[in-house]
Parts: sequence; structure tokens; C-alpha cells
Amino acid sequence: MSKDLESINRELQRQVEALTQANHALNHLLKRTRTAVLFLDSRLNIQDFTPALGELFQVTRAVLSRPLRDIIADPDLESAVQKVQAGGTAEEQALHTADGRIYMVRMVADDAAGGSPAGVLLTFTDITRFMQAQEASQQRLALTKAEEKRQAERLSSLGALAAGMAHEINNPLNAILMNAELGLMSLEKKVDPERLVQILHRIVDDAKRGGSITRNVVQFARADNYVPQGLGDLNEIILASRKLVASMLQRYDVKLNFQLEPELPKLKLHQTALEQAVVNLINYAVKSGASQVNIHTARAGDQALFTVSDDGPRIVPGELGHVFDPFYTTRREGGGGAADLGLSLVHRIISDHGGTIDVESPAEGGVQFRIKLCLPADSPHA
Amino acid sequence: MHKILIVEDEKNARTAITTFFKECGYAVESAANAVEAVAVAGRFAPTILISDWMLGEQGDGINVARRLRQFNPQLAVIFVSGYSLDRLRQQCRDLPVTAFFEKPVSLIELSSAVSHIAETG
Repeated sequence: MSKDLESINRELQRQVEALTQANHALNHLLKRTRTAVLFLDSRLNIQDFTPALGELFQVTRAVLSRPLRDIIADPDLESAVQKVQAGGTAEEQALHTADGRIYMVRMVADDAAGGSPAGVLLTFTDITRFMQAQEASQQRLALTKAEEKRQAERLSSLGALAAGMAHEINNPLNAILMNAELGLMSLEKKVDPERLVQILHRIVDDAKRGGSITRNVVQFARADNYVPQGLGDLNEIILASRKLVASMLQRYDVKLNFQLEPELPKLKLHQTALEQAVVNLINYAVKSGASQVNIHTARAGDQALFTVSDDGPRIVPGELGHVFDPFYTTRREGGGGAADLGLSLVHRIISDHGGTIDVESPAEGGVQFRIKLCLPADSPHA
Repeated sequence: MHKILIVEDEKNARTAITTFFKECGYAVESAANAVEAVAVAGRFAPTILISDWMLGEQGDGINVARRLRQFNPQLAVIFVSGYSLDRLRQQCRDLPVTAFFEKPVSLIELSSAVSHIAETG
């Protein structure tokens, strides 16, 4: 009997030693592990944690038995923990710490202690680098997409420029071809040499015209033409452009009206380029059948507003989006329109000034161009 | 004999086409824009219209063709354009057009289109 008891006792001691060893091994593992683990008891107070968690939240064992919120004040995490405890399930949630790190918190109901309700075991995995890498990759993707969009816009405006330019050059080419054919036929028929001279002159004229078109396009395409060079007075530029359009206004019998803000501060501009823009806008209005052109300047905060409006027919609906396309004939009701680089150049000049231009053409008629240019930061306040 | 109305806002091209068809023996009149074209057609009554598509500020070749066909539904129409022909074809789907030409166009090509009209109708 005693022998039996002795052997049972030995067996028990062996098992206790094995358990103690296993417990030591487990404690050792928990102490050495770099994984931050937090044990919450059935009342969701802190039961234990690994040293990695202590380092992570800068807490000592003094927090044992305190509620979770004493070390992590995050209502979302707290409600997730309650949900896990109530449902006996597992849950994952990201946690952003005050120092900018991001952790994936895995929560699982833990009834190891046999208590009811169960406690909850939380493991914290640092995913900051992963998330940063992901964010960087998303930013790269966004940049690539933005670049693709810019590329598509460049190609589309290049396409519009090519189509417009083809039209402009095809016209003199057409006249050259027809007159050259006519010249050859005239030679064969031995007609009056004077007629041949006329034909050849027409060919020379059109060849020259073709040359000037390509020169204009090259000028238009130059990248650094219209950037502001110094401070200037927008009102003065507008008034100066009057001289440049005077004879055209007289010929077409168009009246030019001004309403200029006298207190408009000076702004960074390219004098001759902006003059050109004003002339082109007036020219567009006049050639589109307007009888009045109104130019208005105003100040709106740190911007100078500059509008050019006319009382001509409205732009045919659907054509408004093409107004600034090079050589595009934007038709106005009644058939008017101009195919040139005029408005494209205005758009280009304003963009080079860091400004914006938009166009409206209300149903009741007329067209209004609204230009916004930035005033220097040190402008006197309005 | 067919009567040809040439509508072209480019003076040098207009002169060349007009001279050429006159020398071919046709009765020819010309106009530089849409308004002038309608006015000339009123007294000239053309049977063939050769028109540029874009005619500047007072209307385009399509406007002219539609207007002229109201007076003469038999009018044969030939369009010439410096732009791609796709947009032009789209805009005149409901208008019978004998031929479309993209500039630069040879007088010989225009002449064959006119001869074809003369032979078929």
C-alpha cells in the first residue's frame, strides 16, 4: 500500500516538476518574446502583460488590475474588446498611437483561467513600416495616375494643335496645288505669259503664308515665353491695348467700355504678353459680331479679377469646351467664329502667369471671359 | 450644261478653281462666304455646288448646301475641307453629298467628280 502511495507520490512530484518547468518555460518565453501581449481578466482589467507591451506603452507592473483604458485610451478598442468578450469570438483592429505608430491588435476571448465571463487576450503587432510602405506605394500610384492624366491631356492638346495646324497649312497648300496645276495646264496651252505670272505670284503668296503659320506655331509652343518679368499695373496694360485695337473697333463699329478698379495693386506680369492677351480677347469679341465689349477689373482678396464680356451671339452649346483649343473654330450662334491661335494664346499667357481663365456663354447671349491673377503676398490689404 | 457654284473663302484657291472649270467649258460663278453664296445662287441657279466647309464668320458650307437644296433638291454637292472629314461627314449625315475631299485637293480629282455628276445625272 505504502509502496503504491510512494509511487503515486513520485509520479505526482514528477508531474509537478514537469508543470513547473513548463510554467518556467512559458514565463521565459513570454518575457523574452518581442511580441506585445496583454491579458485582460473577466472584468477586463489588466491581468498580465509581456515586457514588450510594457515598453510599448511605457507601463510598469503597477498597472496590474487597472482597467484597459488606463494604458490605452481608445474607445474603439475598448468596445471591440467588450464585443469579443461577449461573443467569445476573435477580432482584429488597427491602433494608431500618439507617437505615430500603427499596430494591428488581435483580440481573442480567453477562458484559460476558467472564469466566466472569459478574459481577453490581445496581441499587438507593429505594422507601421508595412502601412508606410503601402501608403508610399499608394502615393506612387496616385502620382503615376496624375502623370498619366497629364500625359493624356498633353496628347489631347497636341492632337487639337496638330488638327488645327493641319487645317491652317492645308489651306495655303490647297491653293498652291491648284494654282500649280493651273500653271502647268496654262503652259501646255501656251496662254498669255502674264497669266502665268499671276498664277506664280499666287503660289509665292501662299507658300509665304504657310511659312508664317509654322513660325507662329513654333512661337506659340515655346515654353518660357510669357512668364512674368516684374511688377506692373494691369489697368494700365488694359488701357494701353486700346491703341492697338482702335482701328479695328472703328472698322467694325464696336464700342469698348471700361470699369477698372483704381486701387488694384500692382502684380507680377509680362507686360507685352498680357497686352497681347487683352488684344486677342477684344479681337475675338469683335470678330464674333459683338457691338459692345466691356472690360472690368476688381480685387477679390489676394486675387485680381479681370473680365472681358461682349454682347455678341452666344457660343453654340457643346462648343464651349473647345474655346481655347488651338485653331478650333468655336462657332457662335449665327455662324460666327474664328479659327486661329488667339484664345489659345490667351489661355497660355494666363497659365504662364499662374492665373486661371474660364468662359461663360449664357442662353440670353454674349460671352464672358473671367481671368484670375494672383496678387503678390505683400500687396496692401483691400 | 451644268452650272457650278464655287464657294471658297480662300481667294487664291477660289480663283484657281473658277478659272479651271471655266476653261473646262462649264458656266461658273463663285462666292467668298455663305451670305454671298446664297445671293449668287438666287440669280445663277447652280446645279453643282463645290463648297469649302468652313467659311468664316457668316455660316459654313453645310448651311449653304441645305439652303440651296431648298430651292433645287436636285443640286449635287461636293464638299472640300481642310479639317478631317470625319466631323464633316457626321454633321451632314442627312444631306446627300456626292463627294468629300480633304485639302489639299487636286483640280484633276475635283474635275473627275464633276464629270461623274455630269455623266450620271
